[in-house]
Amino acid sequence: MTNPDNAILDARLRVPQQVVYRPFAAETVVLNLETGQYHGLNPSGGRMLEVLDQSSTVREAAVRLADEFGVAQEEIERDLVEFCADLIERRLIEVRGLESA
Amino acid sequence: MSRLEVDAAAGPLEAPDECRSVAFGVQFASPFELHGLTPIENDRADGAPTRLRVVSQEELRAASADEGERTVERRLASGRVALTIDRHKDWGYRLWWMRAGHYLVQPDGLEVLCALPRVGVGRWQRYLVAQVLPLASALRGFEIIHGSAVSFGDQAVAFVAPSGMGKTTLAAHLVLAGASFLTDDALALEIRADEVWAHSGAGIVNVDASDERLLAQESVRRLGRVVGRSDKAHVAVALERRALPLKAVYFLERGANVPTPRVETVWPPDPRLLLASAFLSHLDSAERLQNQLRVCAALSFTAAMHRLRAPATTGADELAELVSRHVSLSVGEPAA
Repeated sequence: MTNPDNAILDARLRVPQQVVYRPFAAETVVLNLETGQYHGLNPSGGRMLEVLDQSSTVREAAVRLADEFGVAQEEIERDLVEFCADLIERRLIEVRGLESA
Repeated sequence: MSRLEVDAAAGPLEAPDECRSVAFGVQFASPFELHGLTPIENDRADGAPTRLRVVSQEELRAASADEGERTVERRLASGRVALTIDRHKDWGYRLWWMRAGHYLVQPDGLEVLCALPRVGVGRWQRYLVAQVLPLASALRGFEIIHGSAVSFGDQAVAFVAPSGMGKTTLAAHLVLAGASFLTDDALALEIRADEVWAHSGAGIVNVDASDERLLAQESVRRLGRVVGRSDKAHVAVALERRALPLKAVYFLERGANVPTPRVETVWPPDPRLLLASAFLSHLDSAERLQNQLRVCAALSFTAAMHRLRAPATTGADELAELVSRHVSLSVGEPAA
């Protein structure tokens, strides 16, 4: 993994107060109350967000998800880094302790 | 617009005591009868009622003196303003509809000030019941969707569509076929023990001129009692008084490109269809949006979703028959 990827994995993140989400029957809907924008996540993405929200670091979430999905941790870490980058861009999560690469 | 005529038998404007009634999940206490609402005994302990107070326009303006934000403004073809809704974090929501009065709903929905116009009772009652009371209900935590609803046995079924698509006529035909009427245009929902429950609105069906022809005079008499006329006939119908679990939502599509009317199950449930069914789209506070998300999410798990697609020429009676058959097969209650 690259250094920026490791930085994300070790970063602490949180779902900000203005972002709420709910699982629907087949997808998770995320709403940014500040922007009024809705976002849809597939079931895997919804579960990832849920576990990220409950974890101290992204790496900790990766450990849980690897066990839950039954895949290698490295694979989940790659997926999570990409997922987090997308969520950050959409302002759906805030990451702390992330140094600029 | 034609002059509003009110059936004198509809009842007095002011009752001697405070009137208690219930609709949209909320108990209302008012100095006058609210047309179409279910009256209840004063000592019923269902939580604090929303109180309606009759005030002067001056008093209402004084109570909402700070400048608010205009959230809704509708104009006639002439350009004249016909309806406005303003809001303010302290004084709540101020609604005005041409010749139907001014209303101020507190931010918590617990009080409504009514500056009534000097016109016939029917017009302002219609606006009060159809627009103001649902807003109070939403501010008290219920989610309001834009739909009609009936019940089959112990289960509620809703029909969602934009205005003019035939929700009311469909509901009326289903009532004629034996279903019980829940609401005409605004359906109040709440979550109880992981299920979404539907509350009745007002027992008034607003049938427009073309609908009345479709229903025919005999059917209108079977449906209920005409209590007023404007551009529509306002028919008082017997109301389902119980809150019931909402087990199916039909999204009505008239003029669909299909040869015959049909029901298509929506699977997986589409959150967009549910989220787009909001009745009070101007109510976009964080609390309301979160509640809407919560209720719609629950509905996606607990209620079946279907598209009811029909050519424009399909009669409401034929649609009602299709729905009755579908409900009896899928929801499990026998259609009358």
